[in-house]
Amino acid sequence: MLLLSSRGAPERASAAAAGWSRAESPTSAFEAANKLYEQGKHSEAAANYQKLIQAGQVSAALYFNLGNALFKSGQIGRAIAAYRQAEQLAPRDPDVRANLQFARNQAQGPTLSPSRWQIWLGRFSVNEWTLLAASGVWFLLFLLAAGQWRAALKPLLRNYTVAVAVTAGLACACLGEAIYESRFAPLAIVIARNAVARHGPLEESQTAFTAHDGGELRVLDEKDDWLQVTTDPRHVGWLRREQVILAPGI
Amino acid sequence: MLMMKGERSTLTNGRWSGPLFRPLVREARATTGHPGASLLRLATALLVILPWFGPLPLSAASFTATLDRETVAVGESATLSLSFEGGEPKSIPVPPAIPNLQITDQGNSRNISIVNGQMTSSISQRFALIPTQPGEYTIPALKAEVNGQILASQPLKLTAVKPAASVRGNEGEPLAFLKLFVPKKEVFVGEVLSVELQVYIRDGVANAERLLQNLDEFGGSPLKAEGFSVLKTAHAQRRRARAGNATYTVATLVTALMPVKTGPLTISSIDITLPLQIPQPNQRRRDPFFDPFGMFPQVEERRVALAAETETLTALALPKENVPTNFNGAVGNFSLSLTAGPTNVAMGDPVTVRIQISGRGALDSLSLPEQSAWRDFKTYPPTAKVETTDGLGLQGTKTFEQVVVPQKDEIKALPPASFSFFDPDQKSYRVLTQPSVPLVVRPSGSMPAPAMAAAGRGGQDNAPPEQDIVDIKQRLGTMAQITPPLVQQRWFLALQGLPVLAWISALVWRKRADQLANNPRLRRQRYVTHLVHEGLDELRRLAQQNNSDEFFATLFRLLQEQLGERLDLPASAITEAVIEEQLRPRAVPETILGPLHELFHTCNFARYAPIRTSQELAAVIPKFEAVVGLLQGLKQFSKAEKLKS
Repeated sequence: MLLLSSRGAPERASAAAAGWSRAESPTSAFEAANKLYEQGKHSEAAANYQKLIQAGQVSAALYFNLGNALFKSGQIGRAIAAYRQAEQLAPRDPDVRANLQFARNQAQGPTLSPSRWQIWLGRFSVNEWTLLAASGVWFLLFLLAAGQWRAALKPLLRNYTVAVAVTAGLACACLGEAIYESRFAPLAIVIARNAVARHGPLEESQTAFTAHDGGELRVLDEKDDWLQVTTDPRHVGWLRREQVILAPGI
Repeated sequence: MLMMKGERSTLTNGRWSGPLFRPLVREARATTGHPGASLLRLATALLVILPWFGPLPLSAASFTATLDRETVAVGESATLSLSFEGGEPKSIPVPPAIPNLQITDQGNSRNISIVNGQMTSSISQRFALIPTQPGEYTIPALKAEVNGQILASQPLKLTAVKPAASVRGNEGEPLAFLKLFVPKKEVFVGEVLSVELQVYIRDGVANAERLLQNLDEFGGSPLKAEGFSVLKTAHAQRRRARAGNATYTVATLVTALMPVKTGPLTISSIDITLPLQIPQPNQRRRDPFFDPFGMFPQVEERRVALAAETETLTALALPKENVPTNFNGAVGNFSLSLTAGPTNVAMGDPVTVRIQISGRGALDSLSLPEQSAWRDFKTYPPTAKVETTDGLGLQGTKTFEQVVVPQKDEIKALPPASFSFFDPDQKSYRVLTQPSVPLVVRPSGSMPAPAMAAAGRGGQDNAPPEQDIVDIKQRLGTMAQITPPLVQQRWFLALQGLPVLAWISALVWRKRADQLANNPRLRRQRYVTHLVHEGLDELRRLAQQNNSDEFFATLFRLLQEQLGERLDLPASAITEAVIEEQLRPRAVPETILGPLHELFHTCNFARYAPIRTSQELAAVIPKFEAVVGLLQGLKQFSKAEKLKS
């Protein structure tokens, strides 16, 4: 089944169309990076995976392997960010979820725990929610149009129409929530070993708490080079941008 | 039952108290008039009677030594309390003589309590410790024999520092001042230290109690500590102290800090402004309304800004030499203990390993290092629980429970477990090792691994957590361009308009169909209009064919249909007579009636004198069109409409 993701419809770009020569097609570059990983050269492998990503075409496997290479290099925060990117493209891949959970378990200090609702919402990408909601709305409007076209069908279709309307409504609500989480409630993933969060966006401000590599924090506000982050009401503070990577909320 | 569950009766220094005794006391007073003697008799009687109702077990004996403060200024006192619970010591130990530290016996107290049938006795011995020089003093572990057992207390540390500056009042002694105590000048990154901020308010300040209550309720950290992680702040018990010629009430806030970066770091207090109300005893003024007798003294309010001196200390990096292989950042002073069970299992059965790390340090951030020696075991991430014994959460025990599953039946023991930490007092790394635990592992069929809930982080699946990450994928998979999501693509949004348009179209169509169905005249009107339109084409064709009979028959039928539609009469009932009978009374203009008459005459004449040429036939068509157009322009007449006579 072809999965569509928040990153858009996958297009089978041929190597020639993408401008890759035979010697350096994405597949061969990917395999070369895999070889470096197997040899234990995790940092080099991560750099190679990054180059592939910067070329503009991505896949869930590419982000997944990048996450593995970063994790093995001891960069838990960056690994979590890569796994989350892979999760965006393949939300139900069990390997991605397992490694993401494993990496999260290694993170120390204050970190955001996703709620059950967010976990459930994250089982589909934003594009998949879009298609589900659109399908529901299309089907609903089709049933309504059929009822108008053939009046005799209206009573027969009433129950189905109600059921589809409810389902479409729920799907639209989930889509709205997914868009909100993705765009308006981003996460900051700590990539610094010890990131000191302060009470204000100034170096002179008092320390509020310390987050560690891999910690996931909700972004509340931003000012200049600072982000206001939180994990719970006890932990609210300002972090420097360079200490985190921003990621969609789900 | 002699007492309700949860009710507590206590005997303290020879005096009994508690709900058990109140009614008995009242009765005793009523009968003897002398409560003291009766109480004693009662207590003795109970001590004789109670055992017959079941044993009152004493709790196990214990001996603890505590200091009320860890840091004091030179010349101030700290209280050392030795507590014995569950038994009476053979003799109360006395701390040994320590240079530059005065130790004074402050007496003891006894306490017996009965709770839920369990009796607990305790004895407390107090010593005042007054340092005469700054420095660190160690009160060694003390030993005492209790119920035949030798019990030992933990060693304690007392830090003495130089006193700080103050704010003076009119009488020469300061009204209020702050003291900041930093126990050491050099700390290691990751080492926790307790910093005390003491707020002194002199006796005589009228609103001292209210100010101290406000300080007790202060929930934040009273320190500015750049480069530190502020762990927790606790309030120590208020006390009274003498400084110079004045007596003060002291509120103490203790904050646990942990440096997070190396180099010189400063600690200071936040700026505190206290509105001190100073009574003015010589200025009593009698307010004739509110204070006619001059009972209430006037007070002068003085807003005093207090700040403690900034203390600087140096945060050192942990040494890079001799770092143990499994060192994971723990700094402090710890001890390690381990238990495992069951010890007789089949291969694949879980063994729960309980590792306790006790001591002083940042217990919350302690983690268990990976035990490389346990390679023949499948291990799962441990769960952890922290129990602290002090208000700051720095002293206590962190207990890890980890499930391990032996993978081979040749295993004879759980290999030794080790834990490394950096001891800031010794300035060196220490490795604690627990001996191996003998195991008997029987061969067996495969038992399923225990299903553990994922610890704390969402619990996505119920599958047991893995020991390592899943390996990389070998296939690149479907590649995708990095594009905005569908909801942001115009073509997709435009596409969503299609079903809406389809539905609206169906809705409009349905409305029109219903309108037609509910309006037979409108239906007939449309039908006739369509009929006339098609009839005109028919007429032209017939005219071309020079088919006079058919032409006029069609013309006549069309006239009937049109007039019948306008007059709401059956088409077959329409003749030329309706012009006079129906149209003229309805004030239809002559411009319509005349041409209508003419058309009817033409149709009638055609029966007898058929028009022969096509042109002549074709010439009739425009006249017919004109009449029909005028008729269609008339309003529809209803049958019920009253005709004008």
